[in-house]
Amino acid sequence: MRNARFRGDLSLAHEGLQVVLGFGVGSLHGLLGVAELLERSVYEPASLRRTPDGFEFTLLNPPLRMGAFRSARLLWNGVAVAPDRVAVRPGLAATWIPFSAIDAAHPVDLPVGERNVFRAHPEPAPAGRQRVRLELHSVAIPPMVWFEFADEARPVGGRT
Amino acid sequence: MSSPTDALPAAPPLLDLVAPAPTQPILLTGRASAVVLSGSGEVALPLETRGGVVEWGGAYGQGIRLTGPWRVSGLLDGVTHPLAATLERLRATRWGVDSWHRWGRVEVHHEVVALPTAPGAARRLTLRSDQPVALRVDAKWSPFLAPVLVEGIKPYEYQVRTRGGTIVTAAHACALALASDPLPFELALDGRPWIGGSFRGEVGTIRTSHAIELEANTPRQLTWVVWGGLASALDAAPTVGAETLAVASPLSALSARPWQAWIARTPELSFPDDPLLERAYDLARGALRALYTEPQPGMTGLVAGYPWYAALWCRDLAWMLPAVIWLGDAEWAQASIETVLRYQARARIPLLGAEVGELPMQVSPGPVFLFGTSDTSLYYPDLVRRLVDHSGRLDAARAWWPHLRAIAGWARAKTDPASGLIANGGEVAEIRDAAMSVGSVHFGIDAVDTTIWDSTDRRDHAIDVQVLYHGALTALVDLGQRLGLPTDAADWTGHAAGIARGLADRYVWPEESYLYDSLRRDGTPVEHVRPNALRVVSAGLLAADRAKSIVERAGRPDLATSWGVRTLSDRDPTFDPRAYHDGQVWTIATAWASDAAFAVGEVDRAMGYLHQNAERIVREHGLAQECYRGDADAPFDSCFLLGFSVAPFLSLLFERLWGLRVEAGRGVLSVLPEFPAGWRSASVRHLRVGEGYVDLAWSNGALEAAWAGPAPLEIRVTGASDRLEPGGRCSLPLPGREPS
Repeated sequence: MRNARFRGDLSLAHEGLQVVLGFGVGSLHGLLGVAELLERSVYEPASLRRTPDGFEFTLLNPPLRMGAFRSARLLWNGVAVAPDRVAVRPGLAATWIPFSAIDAAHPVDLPVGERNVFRAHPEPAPAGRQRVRLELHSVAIPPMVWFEFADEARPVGGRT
Repeated sequence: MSSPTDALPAAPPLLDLVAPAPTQPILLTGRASAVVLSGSGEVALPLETRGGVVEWGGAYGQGIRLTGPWRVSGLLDGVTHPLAATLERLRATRWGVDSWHRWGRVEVHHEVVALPTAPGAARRLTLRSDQPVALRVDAKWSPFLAPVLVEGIKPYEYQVRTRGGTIVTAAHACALALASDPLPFELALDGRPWIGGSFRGEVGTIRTSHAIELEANTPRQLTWVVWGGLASALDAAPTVGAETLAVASPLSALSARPWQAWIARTPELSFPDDPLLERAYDLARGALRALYTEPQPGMTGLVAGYPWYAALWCRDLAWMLPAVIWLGDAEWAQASIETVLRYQARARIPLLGAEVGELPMQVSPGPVFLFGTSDTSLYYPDLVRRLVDHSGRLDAARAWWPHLRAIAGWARAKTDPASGLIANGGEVAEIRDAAMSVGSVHFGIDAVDTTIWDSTDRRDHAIDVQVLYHGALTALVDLGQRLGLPTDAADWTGHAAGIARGLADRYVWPEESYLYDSLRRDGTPVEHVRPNALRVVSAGLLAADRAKSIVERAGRPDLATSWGVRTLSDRDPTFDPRAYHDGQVWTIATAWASDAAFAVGEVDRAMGYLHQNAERIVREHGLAQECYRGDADAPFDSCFLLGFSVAPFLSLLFERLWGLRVEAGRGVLSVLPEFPAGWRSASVRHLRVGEGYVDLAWSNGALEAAWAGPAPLEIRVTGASDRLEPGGRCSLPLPGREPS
C-alpha cells in the first residue's frame, strides 16, 4: 500500500511537471487552486461526529452536481446503510428526509452554498477513522455522482 | 430625468415589459463579463436547474461568478420598496437594461450594463421626486467567487476589507471589488453593522446603505460598479471602479458601441417570404455575439452557454465557429482556434485526462483546462479548412500544421486496428483512477463515455464520432495539398474511405430503416434510435435512397416532436423525458435534422425543423434554450442560452438555405440555394469573402450580385457563372422552386 501511494505521488509529480513544461507554472497554479477549492468546499472539515445512536456529518455544497436527486445511497466503511437509517436535512429546511423517502417523484434538492446535514445509523462501526461514501442520482443527468471522505468521528460538541 | 419613451433604444428591444417577470432570464455580456438578471429588473434569477431551483442572478467576470443575487431596495417614510416588486416598465437590449420603478413619491430609473472589456458590471439608479425627500437605499449582495465551471460550489469563508471607498472580497485566488458613488454611510456583514477594515470568516451577505437627499424635481444618481475575477487580475485593474463611476448617463453608452460596430460588420439577411426566419436570424446573430469572450489576454473564444457553462468548452466552440466565420469574423475564429491549439496536450497527463495530441474539453482563466473527450479534437482540422476557405489565407493553417498532424496521431492511437473505427469511452474512468491517489476527499461522476451526449453510454464506436473522424481525415488531406506540405495523404485517404465504407455497411439497421447508434468493439450493434445518425446523411456518406429513408425515419413522431428532435426515441426502453441525453429534445438535434433534410433535397421537411428553432429563438427573446423535456415543449435542466443552439441554426441559413460555398483563395463563391417553393425573393448583404464583401439579391428568377473586394470574384450558380472585377455587378439566372 505504501508503495502504491509512493508510486501515486511520483506519478502526480510527473504530471505536474508535464503541465508546467507544456503550459507554464500559472497553469499548475490554476489547476491546484481548483483542486483545493473542490477539496475544501464539499465535506465540512471535522464535521463527522458520533451521535448517541450513529453519526452526523455536513456537506457544504452538493458534490459536483447541483439540483435534485432521485436516489441517494450511503456506504459506511464500504457497507451500504439501509435507506431508512440515513436521513438528510437539506440547507435551511427544518425537516429530515430519510433516504427511503427519496425517489423520482420525491427528489431531494441539495442547495448550493447551504449546509446539508446527514445523519446515519450504520451497523456498529469501529472506533477510529471512518470511510464514508455518498452516491447520488440526479433527476436530470443519469450517471451516478459519488463523494467519498475519510475522517475521525468526533464526539458531539467536540471540535478537534 | 428620462421617461420610458425618451429612453427608447434605436434597435428594437429584446424585451419590453410592463410588469415584473421574475423568472424571465436576461443576459448582458462583455468581453470578460456577464450579468444575469431577471425581468423584474433585479439582479436575481431563480431558475430550475437539474431538477432543483438554483439562484443564478449576479455579476460574472473572467468565468468566475463574482456575486450571487444583488438586490436593491429603497426605504422611504418607514416603508421598504424592493426594486423587483416596484417595476413599472423594463426594456432590455443586448447591451443594457433600463427599468423604471416607483417608490412612493420617488421615480426610479435603473440601468444595468456588463462592462464591455473589464470583467465587471455597473448599476445606476436615477432618483427623482416632485417634493424634497430623504431616502435610504440598500444594496444587498452575496459574495460568490468560484469558477462557474466548478458546478454547484460556493465558498463560505471570505476575506473582506475596505480600501478607500472600495470593498474588496477574496476567496480561493478569486477576488472582487465593489465601489459606489456616493459612498455608503453604513456597511453590514450578514445584517450586522461593520465599520470596515478587515474581516475573515463566513459571510453570507454584504449590505451597503446609502443616504440620498432629493430636492424637488432635481434628479440624483447612485452608481455601483463591481469587478473582479482572478485575484491577480483585480490587482492589475485598479482604475476600473473610478473610471466606470465617472461615466455619464446613459451607462449603456459604455456598452452599446462595440455591439453596434460588430453588427455593422456582419451580413444582413432578408427573407420577405418568411419574416419569422428573418427575425430569428437577427436574434440568433446577437445571441452568438453575446457569447464572445476574451477573459484574459491570449484567451479568445465563445462561452458555451449561460448560466452554468460560462467557460470555453472546445467542442461547443467548434460548433459555434462556423457561424462566426459566416458572420464575417474570421479574425475571432482564428484567435479562438489559436487558443484551443495552445492547450493541446504535448504529453500524457492522466490526471487531466490528456493524451498526446488531444485538444482540451474546456479552458478557463487561470488557465485551468481539462481533457478527456472522444470527439473535441476531431472537429478542428475541418474548422481550419473552413477558415482557409473563407479567409483565403494559408498562413495560420501553415503555422498550425504540426498541431493538426498531432490530432491525426492522437486519433490513430484511438483507432481499432481491426475495424479502422475510432473508439470512444473510458475517458472519465481514467481521470477518476488518476485522481484517487490525490487529496483527502474524492468524488466523481460515473460517466462511461464522453461523446456530445456525454451522460449516456454510447461505447465503443459512436456513429457521429466516426463521421467526425472521416471529416478530420479528409480535411487534413485537403489542407496538406493546399499547403504543399508533406502529408500522410495516402494513408489518411485510405483510412477515410474505410470509415465511409464502414458507415455505409456495418451501421445499417434494416429493421428500423436507420443506422445503429454505435458498435461495440466486437461489432455488436447498439440499437438506439438517436438523431446522431443524421450526421452521416449530412456528410454525404450514403447512397441517395438510403439517405432519404434515414431522414424519413428520423422524422417519425417517436423521435421528432412539434418542438424539436429528441435525443432518443420515446419507444426506447431507456427513454426518460427528463434525461439529458436519453429523451430530452435538443435544439442542436433539430438543426441536425434540418441539415440532413436539406442534404437529401427535402426542403419542406428541412424548413419545418428550421422553423421549430426559429420560433423558439423568437419566443425566448433572443435566447436559445439548450434543451426541452422530451414529453412537453418546456425547457428542463437547460441553460437559457447555449452556443450550439444558435450557431448551427445560423450556419444552416448560409450553407443550406442559401447554399453558399466560399473558396476565397480561388476567388469563387457558389450559390446553390434551396429556397422553399413559393418564395419570390431573398437577399444577403455584406457577406464577407476573403478581404471583400458581396451583396446577393434573388428575385424574379435572377440573382443579382455586387462585389467590393481587392481581387476578382467568380459567382457560380447551377448552369451559369460570371466573374466580377472589384466593384463589379452581375445578374445570373436562378429560378425559384415552383409550388407542387
